[in-house]
Amino acid sequence: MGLELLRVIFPRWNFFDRVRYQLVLEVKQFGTKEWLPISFNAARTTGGLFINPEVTRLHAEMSLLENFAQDVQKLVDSNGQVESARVQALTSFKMVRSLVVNRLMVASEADVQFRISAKAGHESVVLYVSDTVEVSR
Amino acid sequence: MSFALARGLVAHLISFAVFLQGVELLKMVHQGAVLKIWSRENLEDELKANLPLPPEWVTYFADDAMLTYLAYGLMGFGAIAFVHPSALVFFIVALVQILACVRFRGSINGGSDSMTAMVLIGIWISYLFKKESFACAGLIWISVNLLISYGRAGLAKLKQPEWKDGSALTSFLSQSFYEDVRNLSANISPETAKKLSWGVIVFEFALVFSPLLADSSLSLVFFVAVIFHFANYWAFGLNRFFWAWIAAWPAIFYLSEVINHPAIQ
Repeated sequence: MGLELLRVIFPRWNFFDRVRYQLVLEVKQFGTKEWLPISFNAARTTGGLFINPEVTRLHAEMSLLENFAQDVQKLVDSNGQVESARVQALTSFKMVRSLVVNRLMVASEADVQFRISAKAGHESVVLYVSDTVEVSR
Repeated sequence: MSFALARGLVAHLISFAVFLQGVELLKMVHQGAVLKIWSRENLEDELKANLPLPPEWVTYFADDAMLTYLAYGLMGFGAIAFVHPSALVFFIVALVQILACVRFRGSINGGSDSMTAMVLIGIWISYLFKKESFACAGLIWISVNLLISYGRAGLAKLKQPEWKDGSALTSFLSQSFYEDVRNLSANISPETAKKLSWGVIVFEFALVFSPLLADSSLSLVFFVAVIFHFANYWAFGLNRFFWAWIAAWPAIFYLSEVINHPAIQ
């Protein structure tokens, strides 16, 4: 991880190189059954060519989801299971949890679960489903 | 393009890019989400485990206020570098920029951070040495990185069947944060997508050989590169990529001069 923090000076220059699945972050309120996607939409802004904070943040958040998905995959054991406590100890988990809580602070007051799926065309694979997350009030 | 002109242009453009990155980071911090996700609470343990620094230093570095200080650092030193470019100032700018990336677990905006760092390191070298024969290594470093970035991106796409048949392009466009781009992706015919994809692959490969061109032809290629990077900004909101790559381009013009007119150098 130490060198990962300095990866900016070890560029790989691979852009749009793989047609990856699209990661989808969804939440479900406690006591309900419906999973609702968290939006990653942005509006165009005047001067966006110069500063584009909302979109740059969305790109950073999407990278975070990819990092988290990779971290979770590394924890999958030979039975295809992931130990919840180990996932929750991940820095990327804490950050995704903060992302979810931050997005829901206004929209919801109920505790939630979140899940991350990889979607490619009409196929979708659930990579992780969280325990209940308390939304701060 | 002479060494002095190319160095001056790179220096001004990358200083401007860093200044913009500082303003953008400050706005991101003020919007709140960044402070909650990239918070000290979330990152401190990881930074302590991975940074070879005393724990109390890391605690200070991980503090939420550090994000604001780093934004002001990018803005302030970016502005100073624009007005008074020097080796010392560019060393500090590069340091602040790399620290900002470390505070974001390695990167704020992917490849644009890397290109910014490569250009800052190159321009620092070009101001560090008084003799042009040594200082030119900085601009050559920048141009080599720029050419590798295009070449590797083109090669990676060429290996993917989805890029060669055009489906990758529509797939990426359909994942844009902008609704109009997502709608556009649904209306692009497979044939058009295939042509556009091959256009991108050929263009990225061709750029590797651009320093062999004379100034007038290279200017035309640069013009197409500006359109290419602007299209990336328009489709995906990658404004930082636009400025980081454009800032590196004068180094290509200098390299072209070295290759085509070696006796003048």
